[in-house]
Amino acid sequence: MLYSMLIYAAEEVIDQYPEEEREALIQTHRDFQASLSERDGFVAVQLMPSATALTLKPTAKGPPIVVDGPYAETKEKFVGIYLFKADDLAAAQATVSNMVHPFTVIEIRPIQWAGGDLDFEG
Amino acid sequence: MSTQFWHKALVAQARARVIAALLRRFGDIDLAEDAFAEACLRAVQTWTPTQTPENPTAWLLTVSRNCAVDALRKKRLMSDQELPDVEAPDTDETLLYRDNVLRLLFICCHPDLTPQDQAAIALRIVLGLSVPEIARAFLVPAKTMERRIGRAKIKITQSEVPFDTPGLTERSRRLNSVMLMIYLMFNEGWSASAGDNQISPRLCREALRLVALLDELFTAHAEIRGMRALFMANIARLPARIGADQRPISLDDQDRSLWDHAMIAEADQLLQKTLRGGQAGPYQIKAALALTHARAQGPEDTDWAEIERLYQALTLFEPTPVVALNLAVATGMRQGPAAGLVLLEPLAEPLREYRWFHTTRAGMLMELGRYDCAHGALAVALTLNPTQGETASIQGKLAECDERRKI
Repeated sequence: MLYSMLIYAAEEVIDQYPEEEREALIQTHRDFQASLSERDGFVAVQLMPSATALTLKPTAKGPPIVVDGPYAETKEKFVGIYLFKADDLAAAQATVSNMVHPFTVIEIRPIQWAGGDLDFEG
Repeated sequence: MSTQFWHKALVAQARARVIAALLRRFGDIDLAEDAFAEACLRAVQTWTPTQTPENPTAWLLTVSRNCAVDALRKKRLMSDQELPDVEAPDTDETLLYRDNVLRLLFICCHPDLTPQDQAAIALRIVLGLSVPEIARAFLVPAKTMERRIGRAKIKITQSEVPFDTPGLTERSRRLNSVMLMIYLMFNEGWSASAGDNQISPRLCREALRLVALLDELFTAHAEIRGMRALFMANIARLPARIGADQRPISLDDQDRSLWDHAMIAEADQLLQKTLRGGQAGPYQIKAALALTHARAQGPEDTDWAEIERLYQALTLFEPTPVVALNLAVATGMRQGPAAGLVLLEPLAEPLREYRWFHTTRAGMLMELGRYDCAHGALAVALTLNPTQGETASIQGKLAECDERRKI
């Protein structure tokens, strides 16, 4: 089964991590990626800060209205996503449990369909 | 208990808004700062990484306000002062943050203060930097900075800027002053005027924090967003810009692999979002200029046609000789040195004491093989107090001119 791990983080706190804390956080991702690679591989996406986001909302008729900023204005912002394989929900939960940190919330969501032909370079 | 980094981050995020709201309520900066400091202490004692308040700013504001009231009550035992009416029903604080923070920044821009002192007091009060930190950022002794901040604080404490919600014109006047102060703060860090032309990355980063704060409060303001993108595009290049001797390395000589390309990409996205609004302005154009340079793989890769267009646009907003000089450089790069020289001609008088005018002109003359004229221009540049590095570069070119003249 394909699962996704959605990461929500308090950007303004993570932003101000001192260098060694930031490096430690990045290292947890490197380790996580290495362990996923040993199994079935993974896809990961890190989003730019939510300040770069635009949100398009539907209107009754006519073109959508464009709003400055991310869709949900919450304390934790959507900052990235991993796709990985696991036998079942319990296994998926075990897989991501090390990725939960202070100021970081993880959502596990089974994947209905994934695909595409995007060239990630350039 | 030591203060943790995450705690500092949450407090730093809240500080400007809370101090501004307290100042509005109590009208006393010292009281506001003391109350906020007290609230931060309580936050250290009660917050944990996994148990922070849903809204740390609101938490700190409520606790600070109670601390301020307690402080006033204690004082009242000694004097007969009337307490401010703190029990009055609260209006929506989030709506008040915007104009209160703007007012707080605006009173730091007191016209009697030098731009440096305006910046210094803003760092102290709005961002909460300590005096030694500010002194280091400005590359001056701590004692000097302490005196300057002391004097500046007295000035702004006597400020008579009203607390009422400003009208459109007044709000835009305040924004302009504050943006100029932040812009000058950045420039001071980018090529520090005081400390023998040293760079102060800290000052650049604090200016970015201030403009980011404004950007969060005034989301639809294209020029604030433009300034944010401009600062980011430049800060991303700082690692390559500072030489071993802390002196600037020119763009052409920088090791571009040291640039923070993620930050450049983010600045680019922010600017693209801003330009959608179609409200052009000088800061957005300067951001576009910085990003055009930042996008180039190497100096020879620079899109000079785009840079020429952008300087033409900037001329509409800032018709100054220095902008015209930059336009002449871009034109020279695109159409050749002869075309550049034509544009330089009318600038000879207004820029006669500007080193870079003479070195630029000399460069174009040398390209055209006019070494006699180039020699003359370089000799003038040498009399206009060049820095050590520039002197060496000018003397190298003088020697080259001498050499070529002999042939």
